[in-house]
Amino acid sequence: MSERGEVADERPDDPIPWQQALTDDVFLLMMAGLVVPTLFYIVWGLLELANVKIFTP
Amino acid sequence: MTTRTSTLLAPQGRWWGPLGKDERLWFALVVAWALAMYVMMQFVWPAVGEEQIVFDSYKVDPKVFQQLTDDYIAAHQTGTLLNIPIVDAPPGDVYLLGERFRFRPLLNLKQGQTYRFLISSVDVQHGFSVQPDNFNLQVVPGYVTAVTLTPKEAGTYQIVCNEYCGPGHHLMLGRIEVTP
Repeated sequence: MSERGEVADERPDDPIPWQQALTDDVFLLMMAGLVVPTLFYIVWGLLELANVKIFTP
Repeated sequence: MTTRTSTLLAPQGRWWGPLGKDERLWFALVVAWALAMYVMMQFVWPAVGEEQIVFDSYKVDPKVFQQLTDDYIAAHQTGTLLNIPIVDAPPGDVYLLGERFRFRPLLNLKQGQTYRFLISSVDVQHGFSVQPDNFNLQVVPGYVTAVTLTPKEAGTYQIVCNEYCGPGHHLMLGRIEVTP
């Protein structure tokens, strides 16, 4: 039996961990798939662009 | 115990558990390798290698940059070729403008001298690719790309736009003439 199986068996009444709740819900997963790239690609990129210095000859 | 009869069905009950030893090991290896590559690309190769181009970016009004380029050309022009000005560039700042579908000015440089290329576009995104060297930069309207270059070999180098910019893209060329 795997380590995962043992943990699941030993604490059957524990609340569902957030990682499982996220993985079990396709809509939460979709939201994560939208939020994570938005933060890391778009927001990060906009912050980088906002910090570009003005050209002075 | 959680049992699954199909991999397509969601497992029932509480199946999530902490990472096992092997998973933690693989995770640590992946993070360590990613960090190592980051350090190499960000700090090591720009310092010791010649392959990675080090450049700065600045914001600029395209009309201001166009005026600066016109002033630069007026100060150093020595001729024209196909209505494109030719400039004998003194060491230091060199203005180069990308516009559909040409680079101006054409540049005469001296071997061994150091130049800071200030490259920008007035209309759309262009590419700056020096041939036959493998040297590539983006030329973006509203931004100046500044890169310091020291020509090591005399010869004629072509600048090719390698970012599709419109129907005349394939005709968009520039020239750098390096003399001893």
